[in-house]
Amino acid sequence: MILLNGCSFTYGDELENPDKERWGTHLGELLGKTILNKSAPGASNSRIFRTTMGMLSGMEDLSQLEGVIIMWSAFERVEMISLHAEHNYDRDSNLINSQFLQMSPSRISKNNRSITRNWQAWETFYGEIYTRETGIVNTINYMSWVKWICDQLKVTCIQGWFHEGNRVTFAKTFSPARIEQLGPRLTRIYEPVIKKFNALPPQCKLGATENDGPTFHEFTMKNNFKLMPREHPGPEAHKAYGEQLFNYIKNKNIVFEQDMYTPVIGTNLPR
Amino acid sequence: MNEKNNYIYVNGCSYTYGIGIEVSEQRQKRWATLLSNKLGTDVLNSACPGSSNFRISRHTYQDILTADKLPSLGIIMWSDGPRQEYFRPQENEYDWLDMAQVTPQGVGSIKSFFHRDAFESFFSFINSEQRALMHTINHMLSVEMLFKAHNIPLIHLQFKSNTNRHYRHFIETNKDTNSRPLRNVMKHIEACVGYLEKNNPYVYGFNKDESFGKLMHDKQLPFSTISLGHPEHTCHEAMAEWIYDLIKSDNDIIKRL
Repeated sequence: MILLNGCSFTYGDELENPDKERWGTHLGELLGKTILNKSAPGASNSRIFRTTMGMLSGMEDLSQLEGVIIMWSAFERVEMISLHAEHNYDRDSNLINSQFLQMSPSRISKNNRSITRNWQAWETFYGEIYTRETGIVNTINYMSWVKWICDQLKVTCIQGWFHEGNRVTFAKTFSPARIEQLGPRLTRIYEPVIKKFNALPPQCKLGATENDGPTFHEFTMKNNFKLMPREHPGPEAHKAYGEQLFNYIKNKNIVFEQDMYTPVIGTNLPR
Repeated sequence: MNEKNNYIYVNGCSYTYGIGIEVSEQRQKRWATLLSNKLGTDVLNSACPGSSNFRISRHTYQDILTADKLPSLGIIMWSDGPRQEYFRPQENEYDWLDMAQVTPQGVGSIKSFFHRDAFESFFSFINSEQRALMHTINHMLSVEMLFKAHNIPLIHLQFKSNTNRHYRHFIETNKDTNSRPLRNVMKHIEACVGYLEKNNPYVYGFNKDESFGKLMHDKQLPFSTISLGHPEHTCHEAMAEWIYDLIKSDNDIIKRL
């Protein structure tokens, strides 16, 4: 069994039948593996990490687990608890657990997919409090922790970024000009981040560098696949991306089997 | 026990850093050093004043994964759940830390009016007790797995009983609720707490309410006159004694030290 986690791109938002049409299902069929898809539309990386950790910490049955595939979402999304259905998206659908509000700057604007209260507080949050560096530090930490825990559990780990926008944000945030401008204040963040990022193997950085393949969004655009009305990849893109990932896995000889890793550190987490 | 062959790893906030003790004596008189003296070990104290639980787990991972030699015992004294960490290059009040640690109590002293205003609004309208609790539990789970994977015993303590208060308050006031979101959050939190408590006898803050603050209250120990709201050195002695009593009856831990 392979655990999948991510945002709407992994969930298959806007597909007529997400369970059947999303890339994870196609990949599972090609690999001959059962897929447990924990992704949710709008998911923040906090949510992806929280739910993955909930699974990997042993709160759910891990005996059949052979692999973890995570497509991380946009850095700027944050997770809050909302007990008041303050998100139109939550009220309109049963797609996500409405108590966990997945917030992003795009949900502040007053349209039918925005929050329904606290606009001003969120505007000041994104205007004055949130910084790109914060989102990057959190995401790279999540990526390296998940990889490390997968190694300890002896399960294969594949990770990537859903959208090339993350790559642009990363490059802009840590551009030589900014490093020069902010000096040690930025290098204190940049150095551990880049060390952790570089330590990840290519299969844990899909779409995160230009050398490690396209993001799902990039793949969809480059191949002129149909986009849905809210710009999510359509069913053809999902099918083709599932095949592309399958080929990547085959070409790189990545194997999903129970207990395939010999861990370097530690004594293994019991499963 | 070996003499200085092993070390204990501790992390936390100002209560672990030793704020409230004379600066010249801070390193010698804080609870972690006193405890390591009793155990005959070294200590690596990664605490920072004002720490959020985000920083504690982030630096704990960094320290353990890059350690040349692993500790024999870990003790994390978790901080206040609502605290946050952000990278904010615009200001310099926290420039000694890699990420600014923001506490709800400290918002009033943020220099920039706009940032102060934004944080006041954040803590008033966006952040919540439930979110603070959920994040604290998530950090505890992550660090628990880190130590479990290395087969290192870990003690989860709390600096004050805030986590217990959040937990009790949330569960007790909502146990009969019909609200689906509330029930879902409760289910999530109880599953995480259940997992932690089942797998580690030293998880304090939920069904076992033990904290540095509670110890001070129970023993009627004084706050410091140097830094209001922080324990003075006699409190650190009591805390070290309390942890020492806790672990000296655990043969598994004692054998490792």
